[in-house]
Amino acid sequence: MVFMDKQISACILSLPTELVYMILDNLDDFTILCSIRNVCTQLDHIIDTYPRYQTLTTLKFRSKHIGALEAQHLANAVRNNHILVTLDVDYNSIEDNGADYIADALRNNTTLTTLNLHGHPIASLQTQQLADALRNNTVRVIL
Amino acid sequence: MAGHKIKLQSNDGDIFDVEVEIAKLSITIKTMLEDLSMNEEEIIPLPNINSAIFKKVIQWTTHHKDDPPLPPEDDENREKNTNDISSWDQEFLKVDQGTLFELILAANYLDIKGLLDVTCTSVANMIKGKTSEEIRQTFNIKNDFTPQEEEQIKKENEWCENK
Repeated sequence: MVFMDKQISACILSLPTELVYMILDNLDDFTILCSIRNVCTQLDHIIDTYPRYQTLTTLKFRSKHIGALEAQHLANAVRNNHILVTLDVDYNSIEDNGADYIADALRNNTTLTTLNLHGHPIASLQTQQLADALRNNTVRVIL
Repeated sequence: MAGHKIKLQSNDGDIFDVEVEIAKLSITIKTMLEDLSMNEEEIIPLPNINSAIFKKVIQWTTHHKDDPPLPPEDDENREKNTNDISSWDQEFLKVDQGTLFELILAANYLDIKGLLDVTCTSVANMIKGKTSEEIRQTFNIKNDFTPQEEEQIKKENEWCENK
């Protein structure tokens, strides 16, 4: 792809931090945690200092379908996040592979204290894996 | 005062005659005129804005000159409804990315809140529903994570790519 002269062409990474914050103001928590994170180091640095991200302690998804890919993004976010303390995925339909993946991520998370999976059609095998993952963890799981 | 014009000069030298009421939608220009008591015959320089972008700004402010003032920002409700770009604005914002980001910078410099809001919303809409890789492709962002970090991300993606 050919772009205009760099001197006159602005891009998202050339915006001052406060203007990137204004763009982030328009995005929901899920998108900030699971999409815009891990794009590049510069954006990660900006998001790390974004007040809403710093105070994001509860992530709620209710009555929303979480597919395998979304669950993977979510798990990646939980793995690397040191702020989130409550993950509330009450009444979502979450695929078994996704639950498996979240279980794996939770092994390394020491910040999350509550995981609400109430109403999930998760197979017993996955429930067992979650329980195993959390054995050495202090997370309270609501099933 | 209606119809009264002032002269504004872009950074590439073009001079624009703009109605005072329209120019004053920019708080920066309004402040210059009021606080600095600038002579209305004087040419006001806008060193951060080129002609192409300034034409777009004038087009937007002309269309929105009779809009009611925006409500003050509510800190408790920072997350905005992003589906509220009017069809006129959607047409107006069908521009290349360079222009869109130049418009954000211009709206910020000129302090035109409505234009800043709608341009930021437009960028946010380009991000919504995309994966990190799709966001990189959309904005032509280079993946600059270290090989170790990259390996970790790849490893994490393996399980679903094999499905």
